[in-house]
Amino acid sequence: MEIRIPKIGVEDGDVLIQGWTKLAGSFVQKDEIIAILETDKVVNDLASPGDGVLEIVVAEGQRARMTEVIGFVRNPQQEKPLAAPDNEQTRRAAPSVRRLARSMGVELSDIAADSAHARVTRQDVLNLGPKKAKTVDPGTDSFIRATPLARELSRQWALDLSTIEGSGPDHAVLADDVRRAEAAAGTSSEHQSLGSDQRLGQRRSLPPIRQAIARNLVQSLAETAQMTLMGWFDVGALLTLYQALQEDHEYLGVSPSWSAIFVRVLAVSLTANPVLNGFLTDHEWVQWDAVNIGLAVATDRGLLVPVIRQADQKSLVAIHREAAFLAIQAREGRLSPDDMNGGTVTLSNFGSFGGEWGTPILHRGQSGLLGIGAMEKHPIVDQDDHIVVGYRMPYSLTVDHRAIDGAVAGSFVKTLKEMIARPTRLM
Amino acid sequence: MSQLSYRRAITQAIDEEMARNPDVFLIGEDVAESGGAFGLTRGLLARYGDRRVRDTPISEEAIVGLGVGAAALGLRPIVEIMFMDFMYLAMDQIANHAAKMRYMYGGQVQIPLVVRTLSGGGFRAGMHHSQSLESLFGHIPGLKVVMPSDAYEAKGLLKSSIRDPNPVIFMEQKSLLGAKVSVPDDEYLIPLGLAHVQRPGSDVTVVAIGIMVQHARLAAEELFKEGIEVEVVDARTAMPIDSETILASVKKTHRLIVAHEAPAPFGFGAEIAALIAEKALYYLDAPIIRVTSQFTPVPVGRSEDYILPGAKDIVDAVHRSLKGG
Amino acid sequence: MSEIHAIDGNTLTEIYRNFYLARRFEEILSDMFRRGEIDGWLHSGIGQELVGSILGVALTSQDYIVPYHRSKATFLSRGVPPHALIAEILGRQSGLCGGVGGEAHAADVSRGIFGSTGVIGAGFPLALGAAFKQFYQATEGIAVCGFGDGATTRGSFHECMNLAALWNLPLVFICENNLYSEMTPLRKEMKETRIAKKADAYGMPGVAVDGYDLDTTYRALQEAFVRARSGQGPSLVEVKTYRWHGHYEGDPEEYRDKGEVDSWQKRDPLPVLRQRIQDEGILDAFNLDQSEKDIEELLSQAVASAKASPFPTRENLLINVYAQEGSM
Repeated sequence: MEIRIPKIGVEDGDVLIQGWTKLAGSFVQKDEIIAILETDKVVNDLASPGDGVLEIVVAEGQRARMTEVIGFVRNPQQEKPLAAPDNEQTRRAAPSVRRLARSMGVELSDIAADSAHARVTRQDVLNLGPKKAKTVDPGTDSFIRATPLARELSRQWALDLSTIEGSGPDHAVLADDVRRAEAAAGTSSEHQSLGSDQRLGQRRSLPPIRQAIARNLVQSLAETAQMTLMGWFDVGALLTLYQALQEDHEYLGVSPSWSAIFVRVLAVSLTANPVLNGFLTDHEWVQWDAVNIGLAVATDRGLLVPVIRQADQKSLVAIHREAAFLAIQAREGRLSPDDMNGGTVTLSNFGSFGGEWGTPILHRGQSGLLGIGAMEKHPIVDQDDHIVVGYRMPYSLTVDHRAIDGAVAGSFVKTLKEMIARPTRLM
Repeated sequence: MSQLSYRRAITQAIDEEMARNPDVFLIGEDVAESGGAFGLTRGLLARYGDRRVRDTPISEEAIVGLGVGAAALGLRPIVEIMFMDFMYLAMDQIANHAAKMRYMYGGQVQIPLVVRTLSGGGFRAGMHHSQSLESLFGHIPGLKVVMPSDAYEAKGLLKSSIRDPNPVIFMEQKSLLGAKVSVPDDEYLIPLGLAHVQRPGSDVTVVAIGIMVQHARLAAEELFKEGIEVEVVDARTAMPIDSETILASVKKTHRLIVAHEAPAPFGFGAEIAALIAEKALYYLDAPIIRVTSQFTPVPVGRSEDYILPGAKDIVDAVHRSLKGG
Repeated sequence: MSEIHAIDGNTLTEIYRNFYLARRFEEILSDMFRRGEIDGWLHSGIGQELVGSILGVALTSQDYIVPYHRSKATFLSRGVPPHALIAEILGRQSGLCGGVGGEAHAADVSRGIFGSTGVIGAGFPLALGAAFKQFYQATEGIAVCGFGDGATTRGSFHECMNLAALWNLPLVFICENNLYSEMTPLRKEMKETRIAKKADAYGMPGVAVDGYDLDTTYRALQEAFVRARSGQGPSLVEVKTYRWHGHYEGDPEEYRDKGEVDSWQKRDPLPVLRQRIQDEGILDAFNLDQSEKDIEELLSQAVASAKASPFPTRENLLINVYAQEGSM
């Protein structure tokens, strides 16, 4: 049974154990007075919480926090002794010493064990010395008096404030002084036609997610040699499948989207022809076993790419459900990093915005990205030389040219076209 | 449109709201039989009877607390405290109860209470009948603080205050009681928390509150003769602060003056200055200047004119601002 | 005016159940505080539960009660679920006020309990507002204001006694005089320690009763309620009672003699009431035991449920500063 310091009043704080009135190891009874406690305000008796043998943890003359365990009343028949408390945690020090240690960046557990067996003293902490002490170099005072607006304008126009004569109090530089200097230097003809409001109104800090997207795109372009192949997919057969799926919507419970269909197309094609399903390091090509398709989702905070794992082993309906769920998570900002890691090739459907072709940028660490545009009707001449209505979709396939030559990329486009022409292979 | 005094605008606002909602009632010292110490509630007793318009003993804490309790249980009390200086007597009920009760009861109640009071100088009645304490109340989460700058404002803002679900400290500017402006005959409301650009200008922004809006207008007319265009923004409410309107104005003019009748330290002007320092520092082309009363109690008699700020102080501040402070 | 009858058997049983529940509630909370399970203060009302236990049976659902910081018995007898009150005291989300108000600022407006406050004496004006509302809407309801002897030295007490009498409001002032104003005995706080007498100054009836005697306390309260309900205005009832614990839990109580505490504990009305219910043949020992067991069960579930409730989220802590247009 634990002997705790009771909470005395509302203040948290230390209590001094003025004395134990019973010896350690002696038998005590419930409600018998076993110790005398002293706070800043009062002296209190402490009664035993039960019958048993007294074990003292915090000795006479030491301090303890309210509600802290300061001993035990053990009933030898019922309780096993506890393991000895961890030395590090019980290292004792007065609050002022703890504060000192904190301010100096010293961990109490760093104090040598032999000096720590009782209480860590002020001197112990001082001996260990400051770990993180920093000195500040006051430097020289080269401060130029200028209004914030004057400073801002001089920064925008790359003018040296120290060269501008100020007309304000104590020669402080005002905005007009900077404008005059700039007009004299003639460095910013493009600004001349703009009002001062417009020069200032355009600054907006990027949210962290946008900054990350920007960094990744630039690094992707810097690290790889990207090439984009463009052309048309004839999607007549796929449209038939799409329409059949729409009609079967009640039975399936969902109607798979074009994105879901193309995730499946891409996955099946990568299984048949895995030339894009890997990445290049400095000296080797590494190919993945799994086919994990990243699906670009536009959100109001930027483009996010959640991943549909092992898309080659999932049905169209399963892919659709997963894609729809991830898109919602993405738009509501609930994607975890795990949801976005591990993609091997990415699909971007810019057709949903009415786009046609683009030069999409590879996701970092991947070698292929298929972009699809909006479907359109076009005239085709059939085997009987009749002009009939056909359906086609523009595609843009970006690959890492360092590893993948035009011919290899072309072979993958051929695989894609085969799958699209024979949609039964998707089922 | 008809010409209406500030005093009658207040009476009309209460009258219209009492007619509109049977839960609205009015209590205070001398509000019923005598029609108010300054005639602000004249005629209401005859119209609504002594259940809804009641004189109280001189017991500020009890009558404000009565209002808090009744408001918590669904009524819409208007409590008049004759002079703002006496609000200190009811401070526990206002600051600890009206302001906090919704929060401390986890949203179980709302406190649609209006405490109306006369504030500011103008009667030359000295330190216990002349204070403007908006910053004390604006500092307390849960309260709104309204300072109408003319009769039109007073009527529209008081009606909104009575309909607001929160406790509102409504500071009637005693030196404006007789001032008349054109007021629409049809009903209108002015929402709380929306500042008003009284006069547009491109050179300096003057954010003023209460009576100081009138001084700012006079100053702007004077400065216009010198070719200086001052934008006068009537803050209307000390809490909530319409930061959007104020920021937009300062981003346009790059110079700010804040004018209020209370002393400067910890005041409304300090709050607006902090807002600009936090949100629009890089738009400033001159230090912010506060035009306020001296940091003294308000003395009796004509000495008051020396202590309280006026239009001339604003004119001087604008000149200083244009020279970069 | 309806007559005050002797207390019937059902009422006695109900008061006993309220009393027992409140007593055990206080004991359990006191233990939890000692174990450090409660942040902040705890102001025990142990020894003073009788008034609150009566309020639960003597008022109607239309009446308002402004409690004070020792009024846990009032909350419980009014039907507030114990888990919601414990959770509030522990500052948990499932508490009466979402865990934001805590012990001193708990309220249950749906049960007519509001106006609790951390400021002694601030409840008077709020109760005045509640009574004014009953008057203004000409309802059948009244308002009751609970407070301790320490609050009667506040100006608000005198302002509100005066105004309630002047306007003849349906308000009953119930002073639980436990002889100590926080940690100072009454005689050091006021020259005139007969609190009931102060009613004379405001033109309302004032009566003092032994708060350890059920019948006289019940009768005095009922008379005051009937007066208020029948348009005869406010009254002051001074209930002489005793606080077994200190002003707050952990109070070393250096200002009073242990013998004084013992002498009041010997007069504890709880076992007296239990015996009476048996003697009058209303319930036998078995039924009483059963009833007590049910209460113990209720309380242990309440503690477990309160402890399982999370603390308020940051979002919870940032709402309800202002009401939005059309909220509520």
